[in-house]
Amino acid sequence: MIFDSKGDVITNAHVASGSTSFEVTLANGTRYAASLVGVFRADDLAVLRIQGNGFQPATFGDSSALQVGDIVLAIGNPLGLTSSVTDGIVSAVNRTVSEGGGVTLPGVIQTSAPINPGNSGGALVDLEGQVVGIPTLAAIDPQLGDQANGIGFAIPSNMAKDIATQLVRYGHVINSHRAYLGVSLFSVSGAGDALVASVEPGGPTAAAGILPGDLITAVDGHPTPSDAALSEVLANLMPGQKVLVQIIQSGGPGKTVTITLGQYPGSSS
Amino acid sequence: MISSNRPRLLGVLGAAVAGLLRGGLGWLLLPAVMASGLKTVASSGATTTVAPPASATSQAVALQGQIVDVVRSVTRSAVQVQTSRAWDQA
Repeated sequence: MIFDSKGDVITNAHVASGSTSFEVTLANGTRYAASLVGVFRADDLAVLRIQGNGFQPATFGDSSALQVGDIVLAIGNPLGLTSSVTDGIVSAVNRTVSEGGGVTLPGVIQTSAPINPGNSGGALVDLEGQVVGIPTLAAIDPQLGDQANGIGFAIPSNMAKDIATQLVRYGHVINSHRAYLGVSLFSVSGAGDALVASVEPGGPTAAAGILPGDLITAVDGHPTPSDAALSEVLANLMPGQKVLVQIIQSGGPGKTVTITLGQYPGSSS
Repeated sequence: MISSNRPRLLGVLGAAVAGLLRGGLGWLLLPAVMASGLKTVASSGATTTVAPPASATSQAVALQGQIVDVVRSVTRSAVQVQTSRAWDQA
């Protein structure tokens, strides 16, 4: 969607990431070469820029005012079918959804409007024509291994607008509103706990004495049986918050340390 | 062997008959229960088409018009992003 009259375009990070060149096609068929303004993978958002004038930016609504049952429309290019529209309702609000690859999205809108490959980075709009979300992913039925019907997720417009504004202004995110531990984790399937791979010097966990090889078993009272679980717990906490973190060091008895959460750093690419 | 199976077979048949009777009684009792507190319409077998109230029809038409207007408006701001990797994918 066109974000502002300068030609900034908001989309998903997973659409833009890993590419070296971009082309944006307007609804009237006009094509523009685009450049990457910035990416914030933690929220799966990115901004591209096209050069020109007369762009018609979308109007962004207040996603916090959405209620379950509100009628919404998803506009995008599913399977390459340009400017397709599907309809549905807001099925739930404030979901926490894991995308995989360490990306967990908090506060997400669940919608019954069909979301298919190609809808990513489009718009979820209300009946006032205001963008209330950015369609981003669809649920997978774990039993069938296929896309579940009528379960799509959109990043709320308030979050998208905030992040996109920062990307346009600074080229990166300076205030992510996301909690940060300052550790990287091994992605070990079935390990049972989050296994620390490295600790950021001077980061929130370094002062608490957490070391590579430690197991983080719980944060703020929530068990963290995997790196994805830890990511999900952090997604619902805020920077500056003091939390109790349970760890196991060198196979010894578990202990609890208090950590003041930092702020997830913004990235520009 | 045969004689020892018979009582079981009869028991199963008895349970089935009892179940059918209960089901039948249930159907018989249902209208009576409903008649005591709820208004029902007896099924004559014929299909009756009831026209929706005029207000509902006009509301549906208005909603449809609103959706068309919204789509027309928002589509002006919609784009398709193509990358060197692939076309936009979810």
